[in-house]
Amino acid sequence: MEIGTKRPAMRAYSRRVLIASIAYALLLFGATYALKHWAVALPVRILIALLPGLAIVAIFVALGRYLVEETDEYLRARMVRQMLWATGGTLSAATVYGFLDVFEAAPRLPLYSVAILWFFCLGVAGAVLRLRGA
Amino acid sequence: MNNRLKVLRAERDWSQADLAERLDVSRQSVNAIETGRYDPSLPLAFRIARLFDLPIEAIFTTD
Repeated sequence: MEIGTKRPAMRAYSRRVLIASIAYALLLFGATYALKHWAVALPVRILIALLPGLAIVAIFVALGRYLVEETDEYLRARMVRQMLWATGGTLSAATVYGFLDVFEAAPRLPLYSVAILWFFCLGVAGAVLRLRGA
Repeated sequence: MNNRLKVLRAERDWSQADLAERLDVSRQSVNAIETGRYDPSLPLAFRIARLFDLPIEAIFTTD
């Protein structure tokens, strides 16, 4: 995202996303290793399995905090537009794919694919809006 | 809406970055307002008017 890279709100957002991304990588690796090599009771398994997802949630929180902290109204509006496009695209794709899955016309995908798709759509929306001069 | 932001900026020999700094907004915001891609909110319009010491109607006009 090239929006106001020098502005304090964007610097804070970038820092939070970097920390959450590193945490996600470490937690995912750790959870995969732990659950593969250790026999743990179900409550512990659930707790370990939750951790990588919580790191992704932290990225969503960082986005929300950016919208609150960004004082430039145009940059804020542009990010909101990006997020709306991402949400619309993700919901549409997930809905269509859901029916393909139900009728066994496509392989089942893990639910966290929705988050991956949303981030992908966010990037595409940003690029398209930039090209359109929005 | 139309605006005379570019003209007023040029009269003072300010770049978009200069104007952005004075308004505490991004250069992208100034560019978007000047090119008509974005209409500023009322508080920002008042800040612009105050900066140029002009009434809002002297800077922004309806289509």
